[in-house]
Amino acid sequence: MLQIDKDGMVHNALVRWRRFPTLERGPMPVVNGIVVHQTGGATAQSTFNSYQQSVHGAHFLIDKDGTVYQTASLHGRTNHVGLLRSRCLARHNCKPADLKALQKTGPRGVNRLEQRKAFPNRFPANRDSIGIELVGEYNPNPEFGKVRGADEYVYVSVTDAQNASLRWLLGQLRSTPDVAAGEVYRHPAVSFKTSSEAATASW
Amino acid sequence: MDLPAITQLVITENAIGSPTDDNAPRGCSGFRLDEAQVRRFLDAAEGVDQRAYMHTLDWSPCHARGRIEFKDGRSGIWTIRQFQTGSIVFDGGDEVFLYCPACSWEPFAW
Repeated sequence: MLQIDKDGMVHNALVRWRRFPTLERGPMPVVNGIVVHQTGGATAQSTFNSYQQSVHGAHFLIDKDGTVYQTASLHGRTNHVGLLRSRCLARHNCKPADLKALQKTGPRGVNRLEQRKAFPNRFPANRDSIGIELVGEYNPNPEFGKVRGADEYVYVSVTDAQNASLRWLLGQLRSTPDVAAGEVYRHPAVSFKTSSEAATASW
Repeated sequence: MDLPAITQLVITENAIGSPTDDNAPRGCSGFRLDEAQVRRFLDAAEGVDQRAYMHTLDWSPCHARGRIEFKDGRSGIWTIRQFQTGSIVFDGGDEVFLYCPACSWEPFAW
């Protein structure tokens, strides 16, 4: 269980603070899920640099050596999920009218329809999820041009140290009152992102 | 995107996903391009950086792909994705990344 202060910051020897208040886009009174990302960059510093000028980011960043940084207050929502995929489509349990509307539209339309739903009828969104970024870039895919359909680039594998820290952080978050989140997802599962992002994250 | 004139365009993959993502449950059979549509996309698309293509813009595994040759002698593999993004990976190693918000016509989705 984590000790969290009134500003939403974690007090733990294993969590370093690098808070960027510009990432915090409003209150987050309820947490329904955790979304695991990869940064698309090779270093923690490149993420910190982008956070200086961006309103997109997550609550935690785990460096390749397993160092855990808290980059936003747990009392604040951040823009880390993006457009929502449809939960009922993924589970094959859409109501007929819902299915018809979802099948006729693209990612923005799907997102609009899903954002109107209350959790758990949709995936966790920006307003009710904690984001955890894992430092990790993408490299040319050796299968591109050789294997039919292979993506041009693939994300690097998550390091063992990152996965160890991720497991620790998830365990702590999920046992802490007020931030206990029942669901953990890789980013591509809930949003329209390439399937290799966070594919090797494990918990 | 200011590309040189195209001297040859071939479609080698169409209406498919990737080995790791077949866009279940909808699949990719609805995203099929003909040559005219490929040329239309390449003509209307704007250049974006790699991060936009790989990380920021919406990603669909559903794509068409093929070979392309330009009047300036360069050649490579083009890929166009269902959510209006694309890439050209040149045989020499260069690459360009594309986004076409103006391509609001079937079979693209947005």
